[in-house]
Amino acid sequence: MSLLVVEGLRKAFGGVRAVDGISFRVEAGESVAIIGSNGAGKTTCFNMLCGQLKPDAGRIMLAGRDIAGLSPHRIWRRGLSRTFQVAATFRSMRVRENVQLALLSHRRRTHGLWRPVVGLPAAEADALLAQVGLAARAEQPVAALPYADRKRLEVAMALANAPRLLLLDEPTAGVAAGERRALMDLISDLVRTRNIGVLFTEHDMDVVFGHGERVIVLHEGRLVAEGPPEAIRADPIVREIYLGTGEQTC
Amino acid sequence: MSFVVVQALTGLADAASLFLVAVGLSLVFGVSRIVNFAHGSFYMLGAYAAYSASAAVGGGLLGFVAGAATATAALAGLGLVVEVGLLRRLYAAPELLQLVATFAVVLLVQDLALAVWGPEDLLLPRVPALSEPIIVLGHRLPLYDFVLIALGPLVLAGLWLLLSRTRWGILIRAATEDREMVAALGIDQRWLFTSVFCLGAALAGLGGAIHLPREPANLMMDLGIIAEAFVVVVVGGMGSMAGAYLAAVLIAELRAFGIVLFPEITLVLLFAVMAVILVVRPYGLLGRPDVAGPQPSSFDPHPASAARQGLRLAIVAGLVGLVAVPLFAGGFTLQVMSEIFIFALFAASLQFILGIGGMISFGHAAYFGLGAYGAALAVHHLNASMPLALIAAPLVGGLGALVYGWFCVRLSGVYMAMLTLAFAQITWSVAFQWYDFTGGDNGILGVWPAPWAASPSAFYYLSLAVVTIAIWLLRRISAAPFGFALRAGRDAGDRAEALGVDVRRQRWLAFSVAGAAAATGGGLYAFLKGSVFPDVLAIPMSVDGLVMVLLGGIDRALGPLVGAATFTGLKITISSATDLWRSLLGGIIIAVVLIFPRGILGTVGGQRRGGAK
Repeated sequence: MSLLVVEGLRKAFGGVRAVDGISFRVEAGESVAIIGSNGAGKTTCFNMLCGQLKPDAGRIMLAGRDIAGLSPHRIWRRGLSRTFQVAATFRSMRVRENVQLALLSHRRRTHGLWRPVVGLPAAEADALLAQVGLAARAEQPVAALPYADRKRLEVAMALANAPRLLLLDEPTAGVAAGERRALMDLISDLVRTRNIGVLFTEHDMDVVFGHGERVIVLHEGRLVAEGPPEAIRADPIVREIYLGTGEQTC
Repeated sequence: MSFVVVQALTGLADAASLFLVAVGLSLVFGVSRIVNFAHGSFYMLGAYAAYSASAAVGGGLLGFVAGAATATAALAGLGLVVEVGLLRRLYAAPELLQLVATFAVVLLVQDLALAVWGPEDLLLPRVPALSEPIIVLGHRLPLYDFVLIALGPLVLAGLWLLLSRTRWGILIRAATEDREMVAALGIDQRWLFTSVFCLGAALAGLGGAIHLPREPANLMMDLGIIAEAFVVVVVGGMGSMAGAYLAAVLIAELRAFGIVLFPEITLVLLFAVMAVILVVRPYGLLGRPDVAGPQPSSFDPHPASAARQGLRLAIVAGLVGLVAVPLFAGGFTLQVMSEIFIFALFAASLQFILGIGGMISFGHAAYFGLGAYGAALAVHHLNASMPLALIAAPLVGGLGALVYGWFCVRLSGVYMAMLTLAFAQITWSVAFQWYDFTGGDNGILGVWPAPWAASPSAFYYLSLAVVTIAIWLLRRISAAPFGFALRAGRDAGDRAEALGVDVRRQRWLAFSVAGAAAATGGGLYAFLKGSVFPDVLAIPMSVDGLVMVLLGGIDRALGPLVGAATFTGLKITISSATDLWRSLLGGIIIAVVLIFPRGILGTVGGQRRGGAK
């Protein structure tokens, strides 16, 4: 059984069919990239997977159970975690507290009224921080972190619920070119050791072809090609509609 | 059948001035994102101005027309002054500060109107040409009702033409959709904003003027209409002119029929309809989901406090000092200080949802007041003892917050502020009108403390103990996972949701906890004063709480206490020296907003943990 099975997913905004019947699968431990020009439907597709948008039609089966239309917090409990295109962290908290909150949530303890957060799963939080290379920054306020480190922090938070599937929305957007590789290598290592399925969108083609084991190409809300990176790179349709636009070469 | 038609026509006529006020409020919000509390004051001034102008011309139809024209023009001018003098400096400020600043204008206008027109209601002498009866199905309706019925759609059509057919209107619509884009096109936005504000103020002025033949001008018009206008705007959909008209008609019709059919529960009916609409359509009948995108959180948040050691020491020393006060202070001082403690709890509970939760409540007095009424009613109707009454207070207030909060936390930012205010206003109206149960504006008297707590020093210790424990609990909750999850929802709602936090439920529970805490203070307040009046539920009380929080510093542990002490101290000193307390309060608010937006502690203490930013 595949980890994620998407079947006939649709979403329209007014008359615009943003996602027009997309089907694909992601296996456990597999890393899949979704590419497509602006407006191809990547973000809409992502937002439906993680519950921010309700699909008009279609099924999203995560480990055999339909999660389509559930709220984001329920979907997270089913084992789907995500990062945001613009790194979203809790800016009024310290680095460690961000991860602590994710851990507390995983243990369903966000209604605790009594014991202060300070001592709660701190060791575990530090272990996660160490894995993303932020151990030394645990005490710092998030606001003081460089952007690339905030992206790392988000990865640590996303791993707090031991997810089965990780959704990364442009994981290297806004990160300096020199640091992208290190960030993606880190993510690849983490998910490989944990056998987590990964689905990511990305504009940087080096990242897509370097880290995606399979690439899905969307165009105007439809899936137009799917296959290993080499095949996609060579696919004439993809070259015409996607790489031909010239805007993705940066 | 004829009754239905006549009542419906009356309702339609009533809707006219409500629509004019609401549509101006909505227009101004659409462009500048400012919810203007003073809009009700513009309406009131419009009525007064029309009265004076009409009297100057010598009354009659000519006088009425001259009055309406004068009111419209005068309020456009006042709008100019307020926009250029105050609001223009606030467009980039947190929305809470904007709301509070416009409330300062409300206070200034109240004193101004009192000084110029006096406390008496001013009734426009009958205008024979307008009261000419028209027979509808055997009932006599004044001609003026039909003028009003026609006016609403006419103004709506006029505004529609203005916005869709003129260059100015197109710019306004563009600015409503995307402010940055309009700025990038090289349009001077400042005058665009100013002109919209003037138009809104003029419409409110006209609304006041056309209402004058039906009801005398009085000093309570401002807050009365603003609460209704908020309901209209929320129900109709923010920024939608047609929605404003639809909702104004709906509200007016509900009132017109409600008063005849179920006079007792008209308000409850209004509340129920509003609640149902907001559940089915959270952004109103014709509103669109948050045009502006997610509202920014109210304040730039600080990292969780770590300056524990020093603070703790200061608090313990302070408590020891407070325990010693009754040894040398007199009864009056002790009473004033008990009041300060109670307000400190009120402010702390507000700070809890405002600071940590990022929720703006403009109706927090509802829960303070429910607590006060809960205690007083328990004593009055059930003969409860003081301890029982003090336990009843947080139960009643907490329950109220649970019910109202369920609706309020569905909205955010100014939408939430307006809804909380509307709920508070409804609660106030119920207390004000339900004579049999609440004593109406006569209040409930004889809520005296038990003999063991009757002396000023005993009551002082009781207040100190209850308030200290309640505030300590609130702080404890803030530092616990619950508080962190709440903060997470404020900092980055989507992120928190995507980490399994049910942000809405977290906010709802926090709102209820804050309500129960405020109500605890309210219960004490009833016994401190020995009586309860509807004032404890009214808008000014809610604003007092906000001012205390802002005065002390929204993110400061001791902010509520410092704010409550400063505020109460000022109020007592100033109101014994002058009648212009409201103006002074307005001045203080404007000073806080423009000069010390971080409050006393924030200004004196500087940035906590410098370099963290």
